[in-house]
Amino acid sequence: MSDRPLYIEIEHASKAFGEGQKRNVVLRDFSLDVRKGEFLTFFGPNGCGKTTLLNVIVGVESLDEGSVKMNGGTSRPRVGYVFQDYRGYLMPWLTVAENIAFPLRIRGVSKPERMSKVEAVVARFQFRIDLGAYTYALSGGQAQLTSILRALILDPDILIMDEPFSALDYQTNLSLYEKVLQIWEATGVTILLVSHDIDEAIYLGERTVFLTKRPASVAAVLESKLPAQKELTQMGSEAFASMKKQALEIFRREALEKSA
Amino acid sequence: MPTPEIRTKDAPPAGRSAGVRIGVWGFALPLLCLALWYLVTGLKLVPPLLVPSPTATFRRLVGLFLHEHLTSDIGATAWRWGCGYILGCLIGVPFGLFIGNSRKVYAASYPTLDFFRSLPVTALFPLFLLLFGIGDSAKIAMAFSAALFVVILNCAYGALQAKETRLRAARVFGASEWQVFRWVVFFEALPQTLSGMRTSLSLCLVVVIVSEMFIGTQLGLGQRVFDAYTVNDTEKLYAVLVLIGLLGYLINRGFVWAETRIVFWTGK
Repeated sequence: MSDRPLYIEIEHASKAFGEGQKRNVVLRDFSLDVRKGEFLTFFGPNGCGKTTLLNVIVGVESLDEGSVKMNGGTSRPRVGYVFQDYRGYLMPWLTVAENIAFPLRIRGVSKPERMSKVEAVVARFQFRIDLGAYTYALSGGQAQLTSILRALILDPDILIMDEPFSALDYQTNLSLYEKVLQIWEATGVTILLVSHDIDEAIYLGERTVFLTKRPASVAAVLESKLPAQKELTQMGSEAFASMKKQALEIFRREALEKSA
Repeated sequence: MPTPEIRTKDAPPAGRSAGVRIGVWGFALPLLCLALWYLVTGLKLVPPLLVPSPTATFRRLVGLFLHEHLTSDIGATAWRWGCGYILGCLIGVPFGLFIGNSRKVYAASYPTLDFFRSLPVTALFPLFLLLFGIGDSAKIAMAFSAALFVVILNCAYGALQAKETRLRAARVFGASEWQVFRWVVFFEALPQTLSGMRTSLSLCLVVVIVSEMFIGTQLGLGQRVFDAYTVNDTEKLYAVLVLIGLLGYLINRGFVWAETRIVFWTGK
């Protein structure tokens, strides 16, 4: 992994909202390096400031202190975003194809060109999805797949997934894990995935970053011991069990004991 | 796990009331009313001068079409109604969406708009007469102002209620504020916009009829009602009232029919 160049450097990042009594520190002295093409997962207690962290990384939110450097500060990377509330983030008045093409439309791409790009991205990952359907008619899994394709349509350098699987059932999640891993392997995109599910976080991530309670900082980073070629059966392996044990210890120390 | 289904708190879709399909049951009550009307007049429970029989009313209605040029009255009323309504929508929709697009603008203009909306247009007769005279323009202006504020308030409210998540989705993919407005806010507000346009359509008809009755005119359904009243011609009065009711109802149904097809995604 160390052969891949540094891509995102977050140094001593701090961020607070509000003033005086209502001042709420969300990030405190947060430092993290991400390498190009890395699959990084974040795991932490609810409301610890994960969304703020993601917003800071994509540049929607500015920092009070510290810095975020992308790609050595040379160019702004293209970012694709997948949200948890897929229904709320898709446009029900547009077809699946037009939802996927929405970022292209923003960039003034003509309709025929948009449609051919959509067909190309669907074909590339061999997804089965009804492009002419409206999103309200889709199952949760298909709707989230639409959001993932929308995030991929601009060929992003970074794919940010903010609890993408939290609202879906287990079976759907397993099939989406495979699709996300397939996308990651095929494109070499850097993935930052926030998860609520410890199994999901350590299965998917090459590294899992454990966050402290608010204000968020890095509690620990767990390197994956799973083989590079992932298979769902590995969730039953000994390596997985030992990682999970470590993860639970970190989580107990950070989330449970420190609040006691 | 959180709930998988996230639903918006939309108004009930057009054409249904709180999710109930109207269907054939909707005809039961009108038929009952008609039967009651026959019964009451047939048994002479009320004098015909107060309530003429349905047969006499409908015969008179046909007679009005055949011998008294009622189509010209319908045309005159429809012209005022259409002009006032369309002008009100053309100005009200963009203005309302603009107001609702910003919380600050909404907060700043809501009390003023609500004041004008609450002011009965019919109470402003004298003012409209002074400003526009007794011709068509006064009646059109009244219909226009009746439509305008209802449309503005509904559009503004619809735009204000645009889902934060969809606005954010468009913004993280790099949409400009104008693109967010055109491709997200407009569609988010559309169900409420159409609902306001439907409400004001009926309201406009009411205002036009009333203005015809009180300001006076050569042609117009309101004038016909007033004429019938002054000479105690209740058959004619009922005939024109039935016609106005049917006209308003049918136009509203037509609007609902279009509305369900335009905002097909609501309530799904």
